[in-house]
Amino acid sequence: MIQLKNLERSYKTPAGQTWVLRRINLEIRDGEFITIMGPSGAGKSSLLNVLALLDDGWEGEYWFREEAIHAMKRKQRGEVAKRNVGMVFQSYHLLDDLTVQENIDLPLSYKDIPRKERQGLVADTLDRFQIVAKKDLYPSQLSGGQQQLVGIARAVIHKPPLLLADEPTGNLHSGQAREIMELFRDLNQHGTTIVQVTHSEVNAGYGSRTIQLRDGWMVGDTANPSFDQPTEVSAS
Amino acid sequence: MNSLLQDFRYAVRQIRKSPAFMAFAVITLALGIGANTAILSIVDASVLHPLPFPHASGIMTLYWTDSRPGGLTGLATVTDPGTVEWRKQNSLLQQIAFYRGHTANLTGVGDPVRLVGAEVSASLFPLLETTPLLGRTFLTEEETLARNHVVLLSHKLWQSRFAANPDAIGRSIRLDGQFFTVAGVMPPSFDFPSEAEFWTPLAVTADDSNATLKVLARLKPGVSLKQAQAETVVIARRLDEQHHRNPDSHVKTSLIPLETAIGADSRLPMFTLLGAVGLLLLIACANVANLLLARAASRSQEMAIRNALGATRWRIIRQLVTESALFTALGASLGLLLAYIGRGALVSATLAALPKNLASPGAAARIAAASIDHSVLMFTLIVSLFTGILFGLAPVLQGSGSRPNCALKAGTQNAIGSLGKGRLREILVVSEIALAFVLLSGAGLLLRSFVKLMAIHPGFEPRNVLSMNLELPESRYQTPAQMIAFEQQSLERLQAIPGVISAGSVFGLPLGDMLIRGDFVVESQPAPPPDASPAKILVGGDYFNAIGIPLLAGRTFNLHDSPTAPPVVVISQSLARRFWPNQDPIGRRLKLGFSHDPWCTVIGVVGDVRQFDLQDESALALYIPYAQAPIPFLMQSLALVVRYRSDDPSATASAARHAIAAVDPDLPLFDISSMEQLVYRSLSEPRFNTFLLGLFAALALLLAALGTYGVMSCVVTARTREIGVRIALGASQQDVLRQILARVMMLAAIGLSAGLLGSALVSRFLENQLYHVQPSDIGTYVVVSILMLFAALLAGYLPARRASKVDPMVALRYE
Repeated sequence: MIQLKNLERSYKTPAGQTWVLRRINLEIRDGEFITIMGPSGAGKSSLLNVLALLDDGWEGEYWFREEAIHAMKRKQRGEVAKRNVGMVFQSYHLLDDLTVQENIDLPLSYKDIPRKERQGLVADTLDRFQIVAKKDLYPSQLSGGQQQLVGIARAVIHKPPLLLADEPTGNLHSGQAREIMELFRDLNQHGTTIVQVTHSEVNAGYGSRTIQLRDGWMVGDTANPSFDQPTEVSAS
Repeated sequence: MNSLLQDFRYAVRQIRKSPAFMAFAVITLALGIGANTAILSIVDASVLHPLPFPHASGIMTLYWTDSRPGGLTGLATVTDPGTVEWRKQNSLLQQIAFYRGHTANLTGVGDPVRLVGAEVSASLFPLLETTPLLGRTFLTEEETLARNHVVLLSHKLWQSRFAANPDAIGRSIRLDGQFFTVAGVMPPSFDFPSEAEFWTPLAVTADDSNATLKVLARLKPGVSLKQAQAETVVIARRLDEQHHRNPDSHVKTSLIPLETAIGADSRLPMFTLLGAVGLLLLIACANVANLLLARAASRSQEMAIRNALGATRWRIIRQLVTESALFTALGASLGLLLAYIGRGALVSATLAALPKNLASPGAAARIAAASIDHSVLMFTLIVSLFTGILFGLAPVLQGSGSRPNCALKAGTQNAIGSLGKGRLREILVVSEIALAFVLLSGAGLLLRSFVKLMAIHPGFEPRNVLSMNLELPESRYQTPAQMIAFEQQSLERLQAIPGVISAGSVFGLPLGDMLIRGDFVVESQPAPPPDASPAKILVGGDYFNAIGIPLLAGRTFNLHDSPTAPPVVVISQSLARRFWPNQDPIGRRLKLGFSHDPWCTVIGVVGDVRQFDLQDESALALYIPYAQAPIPFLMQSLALVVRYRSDDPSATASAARHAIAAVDPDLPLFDISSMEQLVYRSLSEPRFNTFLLGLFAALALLLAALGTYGVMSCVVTARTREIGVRIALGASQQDVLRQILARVMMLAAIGLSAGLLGSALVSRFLENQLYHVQPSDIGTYVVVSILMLFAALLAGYLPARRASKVDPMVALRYE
């Protein structure tokens, strides 16, 4: 599904260039459930942003189903993301002024889908996630677990083949976290490719493959036990 | 004291920390305060306190109203013998005084000069509670022809012609060739009637043919205005009956306060401007309030920290009030400076619009000396301090509902799309847009009206035409024959000037100060209604060619139309059409409505002229040959009109001056101006009102746009994370741009709707300042709406563009 070749990301700071991703070579296949792990500052969220096509400032090659993302302009990348990617956030990021129903409808409202069809899709999703009774409530009237449920429903309503989740259970207690992870497993079993960032070994256990990052370098991949840990070569 | 100083230091630091915010707030306040102060000082001098006399509100005048359509309204006048009757028959007036305007040529003191003055009864000065600066005023016994050769000088005349020499008292001066003894000099502040330069005693004659005397009075103590008015009506009717005049039931003579009677026409335009600057101040206050609320939102955490660290509520309030007071004081100071700088231009513009606008006694002098009035200053200061302090306290007021720990936590929480907190700011923006719409639509209506006025053809050709005025003194020009001889000789000499094409004379120059209208009689037709009061204009020489009024039928006057020839008259096209529709008026007869009233034969028809001003559409005019003037009095005031070929009017004016001096060296020419200048000047009042209202409306639009920009900027800042999430969920740049602009357009639409309602209520006050434009003019409202929507779009575009550029990662970075 996705191929990253020698992908790098850095920021220019007054102190010089700061690297957040270094020579990432990664292949994500359809139907995988990948967990990205690593200490804080390892580059997990940065990698997720690159995968989500929210970040433009990287270098290297990014192939999405044979399409060369690296050759695309920002607008074209946005179109690819709109069609293929769903995002789940740690803090849910539901809009306070919108009801559950309206929040779920949000990604559809940015596509050219007739209103009737949108209403049908929203109703199906509410039903599928068993939150019909909550459809007219506002986010502030929901528990954290319910809010994340809505966040996931919103992320998958347009049936994206790729679901990206950044610490999806970070703000939830263990019971709620388990339910959310069960939901992810279910989505994955129905064909959605999932990439999650987490610190939790338990959550990682739901996935089929784990990637380790440290200081921007990819340092481990359970799908490739012979993964060579790269080292920085100094030119001295 | 130490903590106060600390507050002050901290306030100064706040100003230095956010100079753009402070500059914007200070300039906004300064514009509001400056405009209000400048306009209020002019309004105060011209309208609110129009009479510079002690106990001015007790001064009454006779006022005349004709309730029929087109009927005349104004200060009533009485005849000379009428003064005796009014003195005798009233029982409720403590004092009564009479006066009439009068001009005279002063000779023997430098170059001959024509002076404007008044004949006044001796009782005028005690009634106005005014004493002379030097000498004395008049004695009652000087109100006779034998003893009235005394004169009072204005302060200005005393300075300009007598070098402010106290020895001028007792000196003999020549007015219209007759000697008058200077009895006194009036103080500089005394200016009644307006612009008078000298006063002579009123010597009452037995002539009851002309009512030329205006009346002032004070009531006896304990007498109500109503009682005095009732008596006035009775006396007026009794006098009409005594003199066998036919009292008309539509005409009413009443007694009203002089303050009400004078400058009534100017009151509404002035109050319109006052309303406009009031709206501007409101917009400025709303803008500052908006800014402070925006700041309050960004400082709520600071307030919470202060609170958590032990600051009492009162201590925080004091800190905020110190900050507000500081920038309000800065704004007020800058506003005063602006008012001071703008005052000069405003005074000049007001004075240019004065002749037909603010003709109250001393108005010119007081407007010229208009200062930043204390009460005006206090008013604007209080309003701006109130705004500054009230909204400066917003952080405290806003924070009062929440606990400090909530505010502290809010800094780290993911609050997204909390529109509720910005609602007050949005309401303020809507109010600003509504107020700006009211101002802009008012200015738009005036502008449309002004454009129509400028497009009016005056009915004559003003290019290359010079006009100059002169007064023939009665003492040297006692008979019509003398005046006719002077007129003919003058015109011959003017005609002989190289480059002069034609020359004529006129009493009743278009757009000039002299004009009489009145009744007339058409042979074999019923009496014309009161709205058919033609202008009665004396003309001589080649007047019609000189000024460029086209002859449409028949002929104009020539030298054969002498005093002894059959009386003839030329009429305007409108008069011909109205009284002889589809008929040839040549050869028809009419009477001019004067006491000596023979039948006059119509010999010609000329084009219509805007006689009184450019808006004057009556267009009914009777032109009478100078040599056949029905009353000699009219022949004394002459305007000479010269059409010339050269491009140098000053050379022609100089040559004309010499030509007249050759006929009579003691006769000063005055008000020499081109007819183009007269046309330009006739629009000075609408130009003044349109310019000022337009200026205030433009400022209002600017402030409203800046207010909209400020609020939308705050909205975008507050919603950055929401926008980031939306982009992360698939929103394109266009989606975000559209969303923000839709919000702006919604605010603008609500503001415009409210503004439209406001305009519907307010614009009717403009009705009598509009020419051929309805207060509900749809075109103006459409244009103003488009302009405001465009301004709102522009104001919203920059924040919207910033929003569309939000990096979605910003929303995720706070995870």
